[in-house]
Amino acid sequence: MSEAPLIVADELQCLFTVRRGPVEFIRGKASRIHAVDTVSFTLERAEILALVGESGCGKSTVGRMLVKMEEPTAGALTFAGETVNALSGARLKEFRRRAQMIFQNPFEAFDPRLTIGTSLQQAMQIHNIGKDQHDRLQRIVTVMERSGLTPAEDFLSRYPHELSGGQSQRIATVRVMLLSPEFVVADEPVSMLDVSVRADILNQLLDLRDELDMGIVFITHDLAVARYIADRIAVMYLGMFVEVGPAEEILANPRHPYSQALLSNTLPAGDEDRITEPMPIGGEVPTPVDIQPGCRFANRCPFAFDRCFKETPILQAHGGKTEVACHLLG
Amino acid sequence: MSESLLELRNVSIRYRTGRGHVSAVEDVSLQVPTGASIGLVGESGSGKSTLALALMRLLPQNAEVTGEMIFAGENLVTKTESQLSKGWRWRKLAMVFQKSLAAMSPVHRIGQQMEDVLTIHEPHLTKPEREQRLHDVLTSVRLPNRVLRAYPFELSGGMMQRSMIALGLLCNPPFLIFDEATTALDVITQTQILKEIERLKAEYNLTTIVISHDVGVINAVTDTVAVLYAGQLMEVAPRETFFSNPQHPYSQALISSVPRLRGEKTRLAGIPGSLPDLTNPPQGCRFAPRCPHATEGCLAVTPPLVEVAPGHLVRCTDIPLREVVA
Amino acid sequence: MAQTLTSTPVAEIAPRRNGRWRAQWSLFVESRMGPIGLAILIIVALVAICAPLIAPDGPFKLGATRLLAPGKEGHILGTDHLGRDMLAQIVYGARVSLVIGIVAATISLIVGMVVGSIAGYYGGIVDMVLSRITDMFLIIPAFFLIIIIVATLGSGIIYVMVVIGLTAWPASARLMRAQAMSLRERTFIHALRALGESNRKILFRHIIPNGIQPLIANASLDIASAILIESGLSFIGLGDPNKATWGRMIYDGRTTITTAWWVSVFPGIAIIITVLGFYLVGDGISYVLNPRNRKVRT
Ligand SMILES: Nc1ncnc2c1ncn2[C@@H]1O[C@H](COP(=O)(O)OP(=O)(O)OP(=O)(O)O)[C@@H](O)[C@H]1O
Ligand SMILES: Nc1ncnc2c1ncn2[C@@H]1O[C@H](COP(=O)(O)OP(=O)(O)O)[C@@H](O)[C@H]1O
Ligand code: SF4
Ligand code: SF4
Ligand SMILES: [Mg+2]
Ligand SMILES: [Mg+2]
Repeated sequence: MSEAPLIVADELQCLFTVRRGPVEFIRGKASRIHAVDTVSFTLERAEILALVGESGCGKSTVGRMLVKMEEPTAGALTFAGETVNALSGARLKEFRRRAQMIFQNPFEAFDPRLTIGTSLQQAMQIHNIGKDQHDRLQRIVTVMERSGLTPAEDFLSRYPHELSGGQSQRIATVRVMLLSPEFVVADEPVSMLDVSVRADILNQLLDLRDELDMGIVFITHDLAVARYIADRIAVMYLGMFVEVGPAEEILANPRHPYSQALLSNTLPAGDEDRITEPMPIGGEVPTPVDIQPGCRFANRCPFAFDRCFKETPILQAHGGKTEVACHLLG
Repeated sequence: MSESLLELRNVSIRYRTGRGHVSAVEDVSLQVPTGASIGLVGESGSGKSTLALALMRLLPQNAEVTGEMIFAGENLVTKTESQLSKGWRWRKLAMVFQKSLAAMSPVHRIGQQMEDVLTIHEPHLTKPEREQRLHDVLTSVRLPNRVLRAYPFELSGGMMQRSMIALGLLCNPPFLIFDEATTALDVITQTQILKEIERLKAEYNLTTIVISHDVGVINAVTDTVAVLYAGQLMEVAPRETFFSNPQHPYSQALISSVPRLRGEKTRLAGIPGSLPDLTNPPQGCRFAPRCPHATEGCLAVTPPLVEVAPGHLVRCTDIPLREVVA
Repeated sequence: MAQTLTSTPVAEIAPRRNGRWRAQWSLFVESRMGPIGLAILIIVALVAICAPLIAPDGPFKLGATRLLAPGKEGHILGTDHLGRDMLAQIVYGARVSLVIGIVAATISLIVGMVVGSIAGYYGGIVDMVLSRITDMFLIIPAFFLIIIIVATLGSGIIYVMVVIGLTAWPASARLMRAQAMSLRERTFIHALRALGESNRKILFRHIIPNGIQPLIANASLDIASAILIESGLSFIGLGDPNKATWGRMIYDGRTTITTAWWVSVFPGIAIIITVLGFYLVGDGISYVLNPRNRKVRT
């Protein structure tokens, strides 16, 4: 078991059915949103994979499926050698302890009626961690102080609205750490925070990975953040991975036209950062309703040719460790 | 330096609240030459929007402004509401708001709302002239005419933001404020809109203030950077200087807390702590509680804003020391 | 791993009051209507509690003089057609009215809260079924159902309370359902699910406590309408004959309304004042809950 990869996602798919008007309803015809369409990848222990892409491309849906907050319409998910799809009861609960999620909105991470101390203890009680209240509080204090939240006691008696966004997100991460998970999905944990406190959250996650050998799927739309935190990057477009590979490789040499567009349009925070002129891309991310065959980027891709409109490109390695889904590469 | 279109002289803004006075902007003096593009950076709550709203004279009732805001030779602070709404707001100064969806009425078509603005501010225009103007501004932000017939919720974030810029340009103002105008957008759309702003600036010789907490945005579209912290200007510098040789410890921390796309990967240092309580700001330098270079002296008196090089002002007592080193 | 920390006085974290209560109280005061209503209700409640002190003889003591006008012979509010002191009856009537109102509203609140929160939180088929049931109860004309039940089962005050409670709950259920549906999508609820908390605990420990406030405002209106319904029942002769209720007093006074107006009018005023008190408190709570009145947080 120790040799099995932490996460194996095999052709995960998530379709949402939306019934449109009464006519479609009567004819029994519903539109389907292809939020995520056949996504496959593996994640090793102590590895950080960043999912990047524009909003609405399905990053969060992938993340939610990985921690069983959303059921895949098709495909299989394996966690440390064990199939996750059919878990229930005590085994599901154990999975919930081992696979955790950190959410985007730090201002809403905790029940507004409870003190931080109560919320943190509750998380431990769910999984019977700690002998008694005293023991639990002590663990909480230890973990908080290790994350630089000092003096911890001062925070425990506060209510969520008495915390800044950065503090709240750090404590949300502490709550996850208290359960010693092996896998964490972090869904844009810094995008609502001020630039000055983002670094702390990112460092906290990096330290966690180093201490606990935790595998992390980090969702972001910022390539610079992805580069900082991740070992590998997966670029998503309309529910599919279009390019997956080592972070440095993708940033140095993006091969999918969409990755190129994304990278060249990312604003540099210093003059030395900019390498190419922003690649002009028309239009905006369409909604993935009733997808036709062909490359999903074709209507915006400056290099699109006949084949792109007929045949869906699949993710393939073309030499090197990076896999790309584009007909240009053969 | 060319003549200033806008000059702020010792502007302070306070909000009266139940808990006391929030001093949101404190003694800000700034020159904005015609055609310039000032980038205003600072973390959330540092007073950026407050300053922008003050320029538009759109602050809520509980705010009070002191100091002078001289725009094209006239003091905005003493203008009456009727003077402002006739011929000032939108015609001389316009603003693109942070939350653009909230700035438009959800139950009226975009075209109708734009036409209403024109009818109020330029009543002499005939109907065909108004329609021509609407068509022109939409073209200049590269939106199709069908947007005029759409309701705000029917547009994507990028189109909505472009419509807001179009609304800002409607009365051909010489001066435009962008308050986090691209923050909620995707990178590709954001870059497109920033390029649009650059082009419009050249085309209409616009003077702009661009507010953002994203140093990437500031880097892309400004020529001078002003750093606001807890209501005070901490540093004003030409853009290149700001990025290559920032002098204020807060500016330095801000730049080094942002992850980079290129270059060596080093551990980022965040800025510990948070903004001080503005109902009761600390004595001396407002950044002192978080400053790695703080000394006893910093806590005693508020450091003055000192010109360390032409066009480069810094508010820090530690500066002379480091300048000698440099 | 925590040995080095055993001396940390972690167990002595002082319990603190949530600052939100204070903020909400100050909004309630600011609503103006709320505190007035609360003051009225406190007075009514004090009167009900102190009834034996105010009227030591009880409400049913027959007096010598019938239909005595207010102020005569020590009867401040006069006497009725059996010579009973009006003040004593009104004071004891307050007890009955408050009990009826509160019990009925509590029944409605609890049923509505449970049904609505389950429907809203679980959604899907559970929601469909529960919502249809709620709709069914909503279209039953409550007053007539009550008349039928009281007419067949007898007019015991227990029936009246339970029946009012069981017909009033759909409004609370709908409110709670809407609350649960929006709370369900809040980040902290998602976080609790991801942590492995059971649905039952999420529902009872987080959804209901966070969503109950509009129901409290509604319950205050429920109390008012329960009092009115009971008065209505008594007024058409279906009230509990063994209880001094305000409705029955009005009923008793209707034949002598032209000669002795006070027999009907004073209990009428008592009803109006009490109902008004509950309405005003409901208004105050609604004011607190209206997001537009929340203070900007600095
Ligand atoms: N209407 C108001 N009443 C009282 N205080 C206010 C009001 N509006 C803003 N403030 C306070 O003034 C200070 C500056 O606020 P401002 O909105 O200008 O900040 P900002 O830099 O634009 O932040 P953000 O990036 O979050 O928009 C903050 O402390 C804020 O809480
Ligand atoms: N519950 C849902 N019902 C219908 N559509 C959904 C639902 N959740 C997500 N979607 C759609 O799926 C797509 C991907 O969404 P999401 O994963 O949230 O994207 P991201 O996290 O990248 O912003 C979007 O088009 C979104 O509108
Ligand atoms: S497959 Fe075709 S349309 Fe798709 S990215 Fe490659 S070149 Fe562009
Ligand atoms: S004045 Fe002192 S505390 Fe303030 S920024 Fe300079 S060194 Fe830091
Ligand atoms: Mg998302
Ligand atoms: Mg702002």
